[in-house]
Amino acid sequence: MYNICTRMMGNLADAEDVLQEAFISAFNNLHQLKDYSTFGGWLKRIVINECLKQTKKTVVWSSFEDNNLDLIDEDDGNWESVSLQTIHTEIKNLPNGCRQIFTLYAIEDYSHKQIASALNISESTSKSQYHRAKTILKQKLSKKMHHYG
Amino acid sequence: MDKLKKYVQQRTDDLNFDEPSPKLWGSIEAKIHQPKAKIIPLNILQISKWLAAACIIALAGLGVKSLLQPNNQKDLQPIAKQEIEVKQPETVADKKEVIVKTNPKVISNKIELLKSSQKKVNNHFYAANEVLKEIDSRFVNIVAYQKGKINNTPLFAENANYFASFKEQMLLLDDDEKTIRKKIRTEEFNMEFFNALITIYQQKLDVLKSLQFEMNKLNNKYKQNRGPIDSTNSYFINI
Repeated sequence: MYNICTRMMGNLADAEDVLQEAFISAFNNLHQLKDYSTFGGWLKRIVINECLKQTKKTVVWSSFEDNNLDLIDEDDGNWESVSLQTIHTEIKNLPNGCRQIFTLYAIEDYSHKQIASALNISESTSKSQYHRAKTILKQKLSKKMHHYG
Repeated sequence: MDKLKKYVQQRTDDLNFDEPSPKLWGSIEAKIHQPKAKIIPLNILQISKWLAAACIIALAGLGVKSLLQPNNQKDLQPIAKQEIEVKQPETVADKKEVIVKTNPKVISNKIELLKSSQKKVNNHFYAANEVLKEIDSRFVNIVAYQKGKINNTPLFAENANYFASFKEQMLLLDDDEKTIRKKIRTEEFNMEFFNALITIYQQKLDVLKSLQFEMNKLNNKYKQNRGPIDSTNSYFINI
């Protein structure tokens, strides 16, 4: 749960604050949980919702990259050659806004529609921000990637 | 699914490299065991109406009881007898003059009795007012909070005059609120004043809610349809 917060918030201090709020909220609403076997997923949803609440307060979404959606997604990176820790660090270093969308889409497996609904943005904004995040990650990790042939 | 997403999805559990500080669990535990602040729900108007009705019934009962109690009756009868002494006129001239003598001690007892019953009445009103004052201050805080939210929301479309009608409504409601508060201060306490005040708070909250909705709608429309947002051109309304 903590790593979800660090990836969404981008720094450890904010992540701790959000995690604290999420856990307190979970504790106070524990009586609403009927099936204890689903506790993990239930808690994760609370943590992500708390992260989304903070995100909505702090991020102003820019749609300036919406026009770049028609670019072909050249995803030819050999991501396996980069360590997971490096990827984790660079995700946290992504700019505010695209970091949250990248985390939700790529790691938490939210659809762009779900992300748009959760953050009160359009699907095209969600897609463009994800594309932006991938581009930045690729640029930063390109030195560490080994291209074959 | 793109390669990066596929790669990351397959190794989600391996991406957990960060550890929280030990202090975090202590502070979570401390907050969980903190006594909860009382939250007065927004249906306080209903509660206050019932409370006011209960106070009025209690006061009416007290008043009736104070008037009809046997002890008082006992006191009153001798007072009635002692209070008035009519001097029988002896001459024609005397007939013109009727002196009603009153026993000063009896009158002062009567005054004390009235004062004590009035004090009880005032105490009930004061107690009722304390509760109503609390309700009043809660509404004031809610309205101030909503105003703060709106004042801190940046706007990217239209200009401040676009929302002028909302500001005008709020100003009119502010004037109404001032008028009622003046009446509450200067005139005898009346539940109708308090109900009118609560109605004004509700109207203010409705206006603020509509304003927030309009602001969000405009901002979202601007972001979807226009070019890049220039944060230096954003502005804030002061309501």
